[in-house]
Amino acid sequence: MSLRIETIRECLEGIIPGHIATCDGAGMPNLAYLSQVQFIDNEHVALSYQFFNRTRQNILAHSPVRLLLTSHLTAAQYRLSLEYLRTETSGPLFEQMKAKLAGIASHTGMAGVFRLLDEAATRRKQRRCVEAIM
Amino acid sequence: MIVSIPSLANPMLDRDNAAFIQTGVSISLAACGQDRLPSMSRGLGCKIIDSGRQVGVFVKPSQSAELLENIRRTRRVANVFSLPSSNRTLQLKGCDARIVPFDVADLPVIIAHMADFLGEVLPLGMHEGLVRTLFACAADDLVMVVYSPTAAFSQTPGPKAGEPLAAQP
Repeated sequence: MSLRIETIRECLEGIIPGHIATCDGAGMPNLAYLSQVQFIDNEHVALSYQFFNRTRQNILAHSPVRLLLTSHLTAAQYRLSLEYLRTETSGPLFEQMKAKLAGIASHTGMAGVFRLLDEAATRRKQRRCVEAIM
Repeated sequence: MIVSIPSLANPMLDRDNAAFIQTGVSISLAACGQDRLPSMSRGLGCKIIDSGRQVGVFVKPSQSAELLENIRRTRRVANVFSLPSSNRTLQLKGCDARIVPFDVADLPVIIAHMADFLGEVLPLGMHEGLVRTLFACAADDLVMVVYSPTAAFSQTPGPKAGEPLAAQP
């Protein structure tokens, strides 16, 4: 089943943290938690980088990206298939995510630990990029 | 990055981390396909096997077909455990994963894990019904993925996130 990202926007709010999976050149998977997924449009989302050292290395080495997101309203789970497009370190999108991340850090009592280094905008890789998990 | 390969006498998972992954942690498991596309699923609980030399994670095949196929092909897994109340997070990796049938004698492990997880997330405002939906399962729709951890990493948010962990005796 393929869905439009806009129909699952509650999953991007970070109330239930999402997961990001990548793969290194030797085929070893890596998993990490996501602070936020920023909806850009139905073809693009942006992810913030804070501590995703291995994740970032894998993405820059052209790993496909999978997200596992969960709705805090319905418990429905979705897998998104993404590919890396570009990194932004300034501009309106960067500032918007930086501001939201400050809120998340405060909410979790970890202000000063979360720090936005930059962000990666990603775009959908496949037509079936948003898969509902039944 | 494989940090070290433990000997049989020196399991990668030390006593503290073995206890940690059996608390009310959020569990997820990932494996990659031939095209490097990863897939992952939530774990419904875990089991320490052979004094920490192996870990078993329970997943639902109905939600994990791609993950399980990737495990059959590559046997390589990444497994993350995170405690919602503290954000303490541990990632384990293994290269010998295999899928074994679910033993109904392990059902209490899943039930206890859900209770522990509820104790973690209800104070954070998550609704009980939502958690029970996430953990809803039937014994005939469960398998256990068993692997030997060969590397462990702290992923607790902070400047040390991603650092490899050495097992403590």
